[in-house]
This record gives sequence, structure tokens and C-alpha cells, in this order.
Amino acid sequence: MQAIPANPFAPPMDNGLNNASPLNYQDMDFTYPYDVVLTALQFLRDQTVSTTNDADFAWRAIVIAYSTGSFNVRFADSQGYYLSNGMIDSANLQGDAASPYPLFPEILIPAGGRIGIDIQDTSDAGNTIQLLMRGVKRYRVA
Amino acid sequence: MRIIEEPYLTPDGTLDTPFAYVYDTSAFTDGVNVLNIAQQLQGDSAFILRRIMGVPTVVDTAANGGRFNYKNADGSYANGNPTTGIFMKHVWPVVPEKLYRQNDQISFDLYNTLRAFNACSATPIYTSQIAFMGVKRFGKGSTYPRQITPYRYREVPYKYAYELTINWAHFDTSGRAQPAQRFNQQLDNFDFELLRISIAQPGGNNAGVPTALATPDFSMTLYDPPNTHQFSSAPMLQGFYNAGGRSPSTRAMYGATFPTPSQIYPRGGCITFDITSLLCGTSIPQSYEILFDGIWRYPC
Repeated sequence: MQAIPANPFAPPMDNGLNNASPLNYQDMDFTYPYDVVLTALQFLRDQTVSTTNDADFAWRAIVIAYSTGSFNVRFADSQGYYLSNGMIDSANLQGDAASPYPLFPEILIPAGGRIGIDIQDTSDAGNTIQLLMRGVKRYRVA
Repeated sequence: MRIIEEPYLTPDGTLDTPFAYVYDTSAFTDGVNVLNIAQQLQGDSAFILRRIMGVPTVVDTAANGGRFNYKNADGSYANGNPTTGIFMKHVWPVVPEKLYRQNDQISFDLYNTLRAFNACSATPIYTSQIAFMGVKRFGKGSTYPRQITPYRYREVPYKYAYELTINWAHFDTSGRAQPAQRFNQQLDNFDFELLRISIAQPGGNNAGVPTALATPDFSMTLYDPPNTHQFSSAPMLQGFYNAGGRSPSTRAMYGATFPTPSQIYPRGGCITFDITSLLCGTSIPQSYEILFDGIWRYPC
């Protein structure tokens, strides 16, 4: 292998990040979206984003791709364990598609698993929301 | 293990050069869904996709249902929502990067198209492009020229400022689109490593404050150091190159750092670029400063 000199002004994404897939796996960039339309102050519990059967999903970041108002949200992993002790204000999930809100370390959701979501409108109006769960599909190659 | 920054490694003998595949949607119709659009790759190399830019210039706002999705090289979707797409802002990072092999295509879907444009009487000048940015990876044995500085040197920060005046409109008097015009930034006696490009209007904004150019006044094609290859498949909107902040507190819209990897232009040579005007006849002339920011390789 040969090293490529980094452009000091460029983000790591542009300079290139080495393949960090675990041994015998291949990671592929993937995003699971969650679309919902809430009525004013509506609270939806135990919503599910199902992951596909072809690969585990290493969940690495959250993006609020779109919302028409504020909301609270709480996530759970595939076994139902919450990732926070309470609902989180959407304003505290800062970021956008170019610099998402990171989850570190990554959370592994098995193939055919689920990401759990509790979500509540706080805008007191109808709220159209798209959340993006960014990460990688982890394909077994051997 | 929390150290995530390390030198990027490529297979021995390969060569990575910056490249952007640019898909221009000027010929599309607004308000429709267009699926399975193919950006065909050139046949000389593989392509490593690292970022997608410009989706909001080709689809309607998120509130109006403008959405996007694209596919991996094997034809599977790169995101969920295969039938409705996702909301995508100006920059979409692809991490880990995706490999498209020689002669592959990048397929993508647009939902509720709406082309950005510069108003110009009854004939709009469309400024709607998606750029798939990354690197071309040339294989072992490729004849693509490699850049080596043939002398011992130390590095000194240096910038070349090119004063550009666009005095021609996008359309001529008979309504035909005018061709691009070529410009050169002459280099001095030392090799120059180009790291990024900033574009501003020296006169500043309406308040007289110097500011990076935020409007799509022109598109540009940058050439490699031997001036033989373009770094994009078509002229690319200036914003996709522009690393300048729109104001001291506002980052560049696309946050681009082009070219990455950096490029070494030889001493005595020039940086060649073509400019396509996207200005209306009533807006010319306009002056800009294109700043080529990089490093001198000073002999020692």
C-alpha cells in the first residue's frame, strides 16, 4: 500500500478514510430514514425502523433531515434499551447532513432488527419530520 | 481505538486524482419524478465517490417534497426509502467512500424536480447541477502523468490571485448559449501545490463588505497540471469549488476543498481553467477574484 499526502484544508471525508471494516466484513455507507407526520402535541411511542435482512447496521449518526417544528425524541437499540434517560429536544440534536449528530461508539443493530423511536411534537402544530439514521451496512464476506 | 485520522492508503502503483462527475438537469421538466437517471462514468479509471453536492438545485424544497436517492455500483439503493427518497441538503458525505468501477454508472432518482436558475428576461439560465465528487483511481501501469518535484524544496504558503472579468453573457444576442472562455494563471519559478480555491467579488456585497461569491454567476472547468485532463466531466458551478466563507461567521455553502488530493503544478507552467458565463446580458460586466491557495515548493 502507498500513503496519499493529505490536503490539510480538506475534511477527512475528502482526503479519504481507510477501510475500517472488521475482519471478514465489508462496510457500506447506508442510511435508514424515518418519516412521520405528527399532529399538534401528538406523542407516538415505540415506533420502529426495521433494518433489512441482508446485513447488520452499524449506526453512527443522526440527522434531522427535515421538520416543520420542534419535537422531542428518544431512541432505543434493537433490544429496546433506551439511549437516553428521557426525551431529547430536537434542538439538541444539532447537525445536518454534512455534519451529522454523531453516535459514538457506533451501535450495532442486527440484520432484521429494529431501531426504536419515541417521538412527540412540541410545536403545538402539525409537524412533518424526516430523521435519518446514518451508518454502514456490515456485510459478511467470508 | 479512537484515533481516526491516519494517512489514506491506496493499492501500490495506483494513482488518485480529484474528479467530479457533474450531472446537469437543465433539460429536465419541473414538477416531475425522474427515476433511474444514469451518470455514466468515463472509461479510463475507477471512481471513488466521497461526496454529493447540489441536490437542492435540482429538486424542490423539502416542504414541497423534493427528494433524492442514489444507487451503489451493484444497483442496490444507498439509502432506505427506495420508492420515496430522502431529503438531502447541499452536501451529502459518503462515508465510507463507495467504489464504482470503470464504465459503471451512478444511478439516482429525483422526486419533484425544480431547477434552480438565474432569471434573465423570458429565458432562464439554469444553474441546476448535481456533482458526484471524489477521485478517479488509475490502475497500475496507467500513463496518466504523475507529479514529482525534481528538486529539493521547503514549503512556503503562497497564493495566486486571479482577477477575472466576465464581460459576456450566457446567451448571445440571438439567444444561443455562448461557449466557455479559457484563462490561465501563470506560475512563477517554483512548483506550486494547489490546495483549494476561493472565489469572491472584490467589491463586496451591497454593504461594501468583502464576501465570498454565493451566487452561481459562472461555472468553471479546472484542468490538471499538464493541462490535458479536466477535473470534472462538465463545467461545474463555482460554488462547488468555492472554499471561501460567505461571511466571517458563515461557512462556505458546500464546504468544498477542491482539488483533493492536492495537485502540483510545475514551475513556469500555469493553472488553466475555462469559464462559462451564467450571467444575464443586463448583469455584465462583473469582476471576481479567484484565489488559488496552496504551497510554494521553494528550492533549498
